Amino acid sequence: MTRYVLRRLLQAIPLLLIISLILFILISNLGDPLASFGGTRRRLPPADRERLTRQLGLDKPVIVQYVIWLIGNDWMKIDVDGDGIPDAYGTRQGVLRGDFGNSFQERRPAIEVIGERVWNTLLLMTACEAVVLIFSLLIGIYSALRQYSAWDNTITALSFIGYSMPVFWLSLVLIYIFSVNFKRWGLPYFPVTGMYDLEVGPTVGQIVWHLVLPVASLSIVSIAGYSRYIRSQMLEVINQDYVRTAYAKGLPERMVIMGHAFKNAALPLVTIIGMDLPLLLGGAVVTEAIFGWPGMGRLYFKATNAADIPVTMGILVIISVLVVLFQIATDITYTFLDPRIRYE
Amino acid sequence: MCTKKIGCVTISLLIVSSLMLAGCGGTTTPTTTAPVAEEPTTGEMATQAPATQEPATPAPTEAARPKSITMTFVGGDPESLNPIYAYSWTAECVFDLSLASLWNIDNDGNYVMDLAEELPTVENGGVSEDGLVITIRLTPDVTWSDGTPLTAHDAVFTYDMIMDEGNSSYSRYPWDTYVESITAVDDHTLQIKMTAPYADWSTSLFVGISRIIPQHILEPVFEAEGTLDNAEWNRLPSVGSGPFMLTEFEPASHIIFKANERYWRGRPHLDEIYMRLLEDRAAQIAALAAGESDIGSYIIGSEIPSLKTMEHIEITSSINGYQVVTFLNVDPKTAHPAMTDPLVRRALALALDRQLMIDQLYAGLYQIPVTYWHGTVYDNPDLEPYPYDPEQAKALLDQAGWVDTNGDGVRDKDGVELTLRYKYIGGDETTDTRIASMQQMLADVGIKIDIYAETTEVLWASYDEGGPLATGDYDVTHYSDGLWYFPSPDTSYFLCSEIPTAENPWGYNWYGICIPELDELFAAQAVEINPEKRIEMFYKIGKIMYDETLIIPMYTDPDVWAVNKRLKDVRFSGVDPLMFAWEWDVAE
Repeated sequence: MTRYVLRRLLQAIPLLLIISLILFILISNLGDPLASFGGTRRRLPPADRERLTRQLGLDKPVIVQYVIWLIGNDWMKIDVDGDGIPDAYGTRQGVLRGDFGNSFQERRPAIEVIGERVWNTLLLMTACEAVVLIFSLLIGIYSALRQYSAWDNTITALSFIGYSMPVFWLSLVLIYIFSVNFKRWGLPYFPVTGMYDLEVGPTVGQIVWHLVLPVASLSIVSIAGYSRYIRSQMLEVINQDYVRTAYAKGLPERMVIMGHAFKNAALPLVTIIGMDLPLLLGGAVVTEAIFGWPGMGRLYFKATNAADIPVTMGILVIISVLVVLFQIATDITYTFLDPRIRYE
Repeated sequence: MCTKKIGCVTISLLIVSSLMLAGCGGTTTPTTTAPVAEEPTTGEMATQAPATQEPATPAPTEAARPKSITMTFVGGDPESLNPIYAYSWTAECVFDLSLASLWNIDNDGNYVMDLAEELPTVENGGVSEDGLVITIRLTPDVTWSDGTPLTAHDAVFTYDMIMDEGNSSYSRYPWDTYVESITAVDDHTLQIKMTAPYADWSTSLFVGISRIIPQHILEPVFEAEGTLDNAEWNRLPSVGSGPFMLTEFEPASHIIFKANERYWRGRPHLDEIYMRLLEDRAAQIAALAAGESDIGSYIIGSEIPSLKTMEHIEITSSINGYQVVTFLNVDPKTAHPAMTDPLVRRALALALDRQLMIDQLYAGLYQIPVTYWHGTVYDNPDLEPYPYDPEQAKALLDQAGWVDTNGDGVRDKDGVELTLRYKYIGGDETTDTRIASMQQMLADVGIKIDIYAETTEVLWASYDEGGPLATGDYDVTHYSDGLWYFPSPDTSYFLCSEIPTAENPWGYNWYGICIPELDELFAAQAVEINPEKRIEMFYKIGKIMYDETLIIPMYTDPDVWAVNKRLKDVRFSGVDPLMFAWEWDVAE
């Protein structure tokens, strides 16, 4: 097992390098990072555009920009004053040494920009994922065990409705019902925006209260989808011979379901969760935008739109690394769920 | 049995979760509480602090509670809290609260002194006869919020930092073009030497988004690192000079301001201002409806009907020099051949019912401008907006030789169909609707437009990057644009020298306008310090552009604010939006 893990980790290194190169080239073609400087209110004068192109390293060929992004430029001289003559060593150390570069938009370390949002996103997405898992497991298993019952049919109908709802529409509906109208009607109401009430500050209660609507809007759609998936996996497994044998042996139903059926039905679910977990870091741009949640989704959307290469690459590289690591973790988890699976 | 149990457990969990969450209410703040008479008891109970919260000090009495308001800003964070790196409107609003400027300009165009004692003029000796030396006396006894005197040396330091190669400052204009040197004659006297008479000095140097930064804080940073790019002060200024101190900034979330006890005008009435940074317009409207926001910003016309249903909200607007303009590509090398004909361009203007669009899509909020200088004294009063006259449009097109010879509904000439490329920045559904209606209006007169929606980064990319506007790969576009240093009229957009080429890839004359008389007038006005002469020049500029139909002004794009009626003495300026924040108060 140890050898297997080490081998996978070593294989990941060239894989990540190739991924980073492809991503860098794609992102470099998103548009001109300087085009939106100034917004529509104060566009960048031509002389300043030329200067910033040089200062941000955008005057170099894409492949050179990639190399600098990867290994830095503190080993080579660059033209600081714009006279065409390289006169001072650069200050970048490169991603391999932990320097993701400076955000084009904010002119400060990209890793700092990302770091400010990571925990907010993990909080939102972890809460959402937990809610999704708990409720979809409960609903999916119950639905499978009561196939074609009134409850199952109701759950099926609600699942299709839930799955069809666009998140942005659902978010606004939740706001207008539970925030605006509940307040008007004198009922307990939820806040519209933000992570906490600014006058009270970031207390646990405040954050939980502000999490309710965003988590609800994100999780309803996912619960609808996941519960259907779990239901179909369970249905496939509970009709297997070994489950019938377990019943015949007189085992309690709970042990048959959770100890035998669910364990086998969970294998594909582990794969899906393993793929989902690193993507948690990507946040949920629509939900974050509507609820004013300062997360990675909004940051990624804004950085991509603005062709802010350091920030966009930082987010994508982090997610890529996490995908690789979580895939390895997923493979290891299989061995616990299914003793027949072993790695050399 | 087990399945029933799972069902019971599920239902129980749902009930328990609901009860727990119902108990986790946050406290409301004075800013979000509707007037007491309207608030039923259950609403108040629901907004008490949750049981799980850490023990808090007893809630202060009404008299001791800080006077605070919440503003919402849509459209993103300030990119930096250091003015030398900032450019956005949100950043400018932040600086109005946290950093003083030499003077501000109110909605009526009056100069309101801030750091400067008086506006330099030739009469008072502040401006030399040749317009090349400007001497500014600073108000004595002005300090930074830490008590350090704010002096002319801070201004000199600011200029040095803007110009230093170690700083990737946003823009050096107009410093690099017009300023020869800046010196501190003494602690309270600043002297600016110009390279040439610069007519717009009073709206661009240390005013607007250009503010003075603290030398005593930032000089040590620059000396240690050789750059201010990574200074902590850029993200959380430790000192300020405006009516409010910026005490907290969480990107994509909020900024908190507290009253600056050392503000030179005296402590502002408000204790705190909370600025929520939102991305979604619907969320801002919901926040205004729920009372979570006291001031909503950048309201657009399509939001007015829903705001008008809120009795606690009033709408106010300020002219800011911006308008939505339909720009036409008239470059014979790249544009559709029809676009080089003034008759066709005039037909385009006459075919568009702008008032209908304003009434139907923007609740009648906007006006139809005549020239690019609407809202300033430079707007030619003898000109009237192009009327809506589709019949006249058809007649002009016939006269220009564009007729529908093949019966497909689209005019043609010499085998060329009158099909124009319309490229614009997409992403806003009201704009998309407007473009679709324009497409129909033009189709009614026999002009077809093919619509392309792009992102800003693609549409506005430079000539080198193959940007559609810069390379002339379009015929018609539109965006909201205006005067960089409003109310000053200067612009370089329509100069021949600004047409992008391989040699000059960053020129902004994306329209291919090249009229020698216009170039001469623009060059003359930039250095004309006699106001009356300058106004006459712009009257002529406006007339030329109007007669040639080089642009089609669609509607004004003012700053529109939604204000909770619980506030008082709230007024704005289209030039320095929050310049009067030190007067704002909460009604008793």
